[in-house]
Amino acid sequence: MKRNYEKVKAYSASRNQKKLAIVFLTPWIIGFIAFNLYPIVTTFCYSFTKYNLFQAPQWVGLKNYFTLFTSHEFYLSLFNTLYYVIFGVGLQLILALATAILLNLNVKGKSIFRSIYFIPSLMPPVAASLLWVWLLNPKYGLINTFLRFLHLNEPLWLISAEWTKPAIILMSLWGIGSTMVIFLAGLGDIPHVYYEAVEIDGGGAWSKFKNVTWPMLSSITFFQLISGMIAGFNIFTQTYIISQAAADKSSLGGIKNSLLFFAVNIYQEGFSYLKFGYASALAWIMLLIILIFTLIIFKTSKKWVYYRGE
Amino acid sequence: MRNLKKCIGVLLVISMIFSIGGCKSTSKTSSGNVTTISFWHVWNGSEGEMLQEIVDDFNNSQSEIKVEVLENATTEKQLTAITGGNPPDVGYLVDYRISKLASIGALTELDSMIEENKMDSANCVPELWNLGNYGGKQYGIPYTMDSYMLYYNKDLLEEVGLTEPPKTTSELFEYAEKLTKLDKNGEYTQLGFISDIPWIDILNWAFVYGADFYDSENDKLTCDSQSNIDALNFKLRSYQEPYEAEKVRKFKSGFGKYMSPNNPFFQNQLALDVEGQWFTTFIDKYAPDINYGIAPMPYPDGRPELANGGQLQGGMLYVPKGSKKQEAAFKFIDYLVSDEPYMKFCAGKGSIPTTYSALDNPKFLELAPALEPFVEIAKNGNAHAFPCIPFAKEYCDELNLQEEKFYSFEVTAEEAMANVVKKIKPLVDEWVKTR
Repeated sequence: MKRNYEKVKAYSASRNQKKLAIVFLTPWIIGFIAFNLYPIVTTFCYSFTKYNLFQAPQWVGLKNYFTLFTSHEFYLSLFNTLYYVIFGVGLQLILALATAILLNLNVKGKSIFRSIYFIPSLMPPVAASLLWVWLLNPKYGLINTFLRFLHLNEPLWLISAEWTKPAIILMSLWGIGSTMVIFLAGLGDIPHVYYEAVEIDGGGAWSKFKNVTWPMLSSITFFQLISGMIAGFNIFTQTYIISQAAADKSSLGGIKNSLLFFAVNIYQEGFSYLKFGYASALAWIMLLIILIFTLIIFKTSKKWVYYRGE
Repeated sequence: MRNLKKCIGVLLVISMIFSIGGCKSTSKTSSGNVTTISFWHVWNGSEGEMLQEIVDDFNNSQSEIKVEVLENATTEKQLTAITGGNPPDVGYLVDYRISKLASIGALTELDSMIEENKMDSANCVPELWNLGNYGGKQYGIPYTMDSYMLYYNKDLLEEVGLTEPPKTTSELFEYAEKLTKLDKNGEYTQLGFISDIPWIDILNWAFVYGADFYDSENDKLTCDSQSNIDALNFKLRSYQEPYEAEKVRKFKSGFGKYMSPNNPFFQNQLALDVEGQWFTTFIDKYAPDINYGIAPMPYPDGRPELANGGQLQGGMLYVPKGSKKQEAAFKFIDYLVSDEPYMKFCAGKGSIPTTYSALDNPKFLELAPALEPFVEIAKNGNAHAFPCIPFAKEYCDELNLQEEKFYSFEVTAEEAMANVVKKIKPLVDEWVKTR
């Protein structure tokens, strides 16, 4: 009898908690439905239509998707985006891991260094982009001044089409603070006994990294890779700011469309040319591409990601 | 569990109400027969304040209509409002946006109201009036106009013994060579002329060479005409012998901000500069001491009939389709382009009036003496505007892209323009089909 009573109490408590949880979740749920779910569903419907926002959408079936695969801009923007994702995100991860390992060493003023390396990532992307426009100025920018001092080649960073993407990647490396912090947390989680074991076996620094640090961090690296890739596919702000900051009236894609990333292309087709049906189709293809890449990474993860307790 | 379902149901309903009925127009027509209309424009700061003054004048001049202003309403903001079903009653957009909006039925036809209010279309510079016309109907009333001229730094010209501005295009490059200075490392410290300063301009020199972009009789793209090819090849001379392209680019990349005292023309880095009439207000603000002159765009050798050419650009006042107070909106537009308030606005903003009655009014040049040469250009009929076609934005973007490739020696002028035609022709065909 008593036991039953306790059960009921526990049950009603959990029901009350559920209600409370719903109440607290309400603002988010409303926001999500109104600003995320509803637009997502409507873009799917619009992607099969010719729609310019003003006249009623006309059903065109899969025409937008066919047009898309024959469009030069689609492939160009895909190439630009993949370039950024592969080189940019790859470098970001390598650099963030290297910095995290360095900041994990027992040196004096460790926390000060950590703060210094983390600060740049707190900067709003718009402000950071505007700052970098100046740093990358070929004639007066700090970066080229430094290269000149070393008697190295001084690229026309944001001026010539060959250098715009490397310039954007360079900019992104500056904001790796948050990635680095997550790696640091992961490093802090590795039990010291493993390292001691390696030392007893006579292994050096490289062997520690290969046999302990890398496998123990692999689940974190995996998470960072996925989220970094998705963020990379969505790159938009930097390009937008740079093309606005360049005092010329060039299009959103930057010089010779070298910065026409996928999201920029979607924005241009929609808001500049009022082809919202086509832009919606582009957005869905982008989702599909991100999905495929994510699945590929998931598939390979079995080979290199170790979870504790396995 | 049932409660949970109920909760979610309620949430769904709420969110739908939010997302569908989120923006419905609330029209405030107060009693006493005052119609309140909203006017959205793109300016802010001192230009915005000046426009507010003009609106206040209008509000005080009569008691039937009250205008409320929203500043800084960018093109995107206006588009969003029109589509959201809560548009302004009067808006302002750059000329090439009007044809597209008109073609998809987002704007109100103004013809009947033009007649009713006895607005005289012959009083407007025809090139500009036509920019507001689509399919034989008027959708936009021209409000701002820009024309371009050659600014030259008198002191720098005098240094090398030149007293007159260049008259022809080949003279321009002779001048430019004399006005070039190098430092001991062979880097430029001053250049005479760079054709893509302040930006790649796809129209200016094309019009100077007598090119046009669209043949509306035969619905044909004409950017690949010989005159436009000549114009392009002329522009490229900034980057050819005796100039080193890479060094010119590097010099150019170090130029200061356009709207600031560090503008290359104010810093003596550039002796000749093609700019619009707004540049006179920049000079007043950022470099009042500079000793400069203004001359018409140089004409191609042996073609004096093309003198005083170049491009005209316009900004249009329009009434969106969804406006419930079109009559009042048009009365306000009519007021804005009537001489007194119009001259006040143009003088303050550094814009050229589009009506002959304001252009010919001696009072206007008293208000804005620096604009006189630009007014002449606007009046003489040799300067032209980009045609009013619904795919103007796509066309201009593609022209710009191909010209960037041309400037970096990837394609020849002929190839560049052939690429443009290839890319834009489907849009022409589609438009002809659906007209």
